[in-house]
Amino acid sequence: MPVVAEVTKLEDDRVRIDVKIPEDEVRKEFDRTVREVSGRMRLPGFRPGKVPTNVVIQRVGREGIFAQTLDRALNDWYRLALVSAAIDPIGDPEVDLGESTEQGVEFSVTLQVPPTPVLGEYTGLEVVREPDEIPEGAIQAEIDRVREQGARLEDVDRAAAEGDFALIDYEATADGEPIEGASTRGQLIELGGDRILPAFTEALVGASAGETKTFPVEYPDEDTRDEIKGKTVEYIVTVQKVQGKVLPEVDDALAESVGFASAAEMTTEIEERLATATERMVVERYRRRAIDAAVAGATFDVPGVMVDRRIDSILHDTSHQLPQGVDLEQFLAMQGQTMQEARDSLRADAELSIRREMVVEAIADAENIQLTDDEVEARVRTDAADAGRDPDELLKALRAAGGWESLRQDLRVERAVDLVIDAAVAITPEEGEKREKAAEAKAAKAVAAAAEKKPAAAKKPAAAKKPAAEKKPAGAKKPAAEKKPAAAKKPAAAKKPAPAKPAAAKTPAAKKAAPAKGTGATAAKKTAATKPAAKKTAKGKDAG
Amino acid sequence: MSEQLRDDVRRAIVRPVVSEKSYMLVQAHNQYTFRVLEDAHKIEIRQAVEELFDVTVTDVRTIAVKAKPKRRGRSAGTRPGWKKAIVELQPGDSIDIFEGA
Repeated sequence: MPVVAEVTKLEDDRVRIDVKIPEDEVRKEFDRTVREVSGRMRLPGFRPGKVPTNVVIQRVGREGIFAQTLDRALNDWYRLALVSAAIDPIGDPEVDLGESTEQGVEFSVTLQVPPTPVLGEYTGLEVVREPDEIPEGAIQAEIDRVREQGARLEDVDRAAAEGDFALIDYEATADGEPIEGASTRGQLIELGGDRILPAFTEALVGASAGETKTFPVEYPDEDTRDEIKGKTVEYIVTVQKVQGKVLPEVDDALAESVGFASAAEMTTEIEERLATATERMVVERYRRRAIDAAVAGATFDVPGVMVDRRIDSILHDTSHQLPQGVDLEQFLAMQGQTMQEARDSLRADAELSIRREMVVEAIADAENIQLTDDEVEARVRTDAADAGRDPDELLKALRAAGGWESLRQDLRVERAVDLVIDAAVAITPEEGEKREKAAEAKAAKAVAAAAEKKPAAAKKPAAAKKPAAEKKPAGAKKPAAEKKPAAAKKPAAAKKPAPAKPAAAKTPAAKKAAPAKGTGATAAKKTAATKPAAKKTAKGKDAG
Repeated sequence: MSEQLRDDVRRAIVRPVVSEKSYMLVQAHNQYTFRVLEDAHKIEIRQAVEELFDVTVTDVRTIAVKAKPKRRGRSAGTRPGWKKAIVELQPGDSIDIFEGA
């Protein structure tokens, strides 16, 4: 190993790393510097880059070269030391250069590391789980949607109502002059549809075939079309035909048109699909709440630097997903946000997701979850089979690209999550509410007293659960919200306390879908790896 | 140029020649290259090198480097010629001036 790093823990989550660089490594870097200088050096009698080493040293002086070597290599050494000590620093390091000669360099670095979460209770948590029932009316709504798709238009002999279609001719005049290109014959419009001006719907509801209506539409000054902006346009509309939308009956023919064998099969199929979707949603929410409960039980502060860094990476990912030619500032402006506002709105989310990652990591550490290569390989094989890829090829690619360790880490985290979930006790929403109330009452009475007692731990998760439950419908609508930067940017979404982020990051499949998350997970991984790494270093030393 | 008496034979050596070629010779044949006075002869050079660097010289070869005509615009002139001596040392001997310092 080119560097020897010794880690000493200081208070306030600070760490001092004493780094020793052995002579041969220093020599190697020294020689490299000489070569570099030689490349730049102009000396009469020598072609550039051909100046012999001893001449270079003679000209520049050993000290000069050594100083340059330090300048250049210190950064690399520092990074190597971090790797060998498995420390993921936050904030800027303070470097203290100690003894440094060509026979060996020593320096110490003091830096801030992510705090180690003090875990609360994370087994036997009581977590609200809704019953796996398909919401009432959902099946009917699905069937109605199918019928809507199969709807036909039929001429009707009656006054048009909203929802009907009308075949119309129209002419438009402004200030008594007809407007060029603004008259059409035989246009089919849906009354009440969002493709037409509301004024049309208003005027035409109640009209029958053959009738002619005249009505004014005022265009605002800021309209983009020059010929009509700021003007009142008179529309003369003649209704040719009124057509009603006829929804087909639920029968075998309809079922066949959407790919089912029979009406009965269609109904059961829809029912099944909804049932799995509901169950998945319930499970997902349950998992999320369980994690949140575990997170709420843990006490630690997330340093601002980490949050800022996470926000940076989120914004960075966002900027990559933007269409060509749009930069982040423009995009945010379109959302009506300044950079600062965007950052602020992301802050809570970012902190929460860091908290989750760190807590889950800490649990994995606390439970001493380790995966062997075989286990990882087995996982890759099943994943590959699911994705229809060649497992051996995938394995090779993973090993080559260095995804192996991060996959192992992901699986470790996944196990930790499973552990929390398995150990959690499911309770019904009603019970959850009851407990919450009780906890609130208790909290009101004894505010600070029972901080470390178990009921207190139970109380906190309950409180955390509440907002999640309230926001449920919104969260359910956008299961992918956490992936879509646009959605995440909306204030409402940002306030949502439980975006699926950590859960999603945990399943390797989801991970592949959103590689952006890799950075976050990796960062968190290193964080939690701090402890075992310290051990590792010690061991390495013994061996050496 | 007639031979003069020198109070010190070491003055025959002017300076070492530092170039790619001279370094190549050091490595390949343990030969060191010097610029010497134009009237210095081989024996003198051998003595000078042996005295200056405390080494044993096995061979001295000298070259009269020709003066080169140079012109800059309308003014013509020549660069002075000089004498080069390539001194071969006994195997194992070396001259530090080429190595450093």
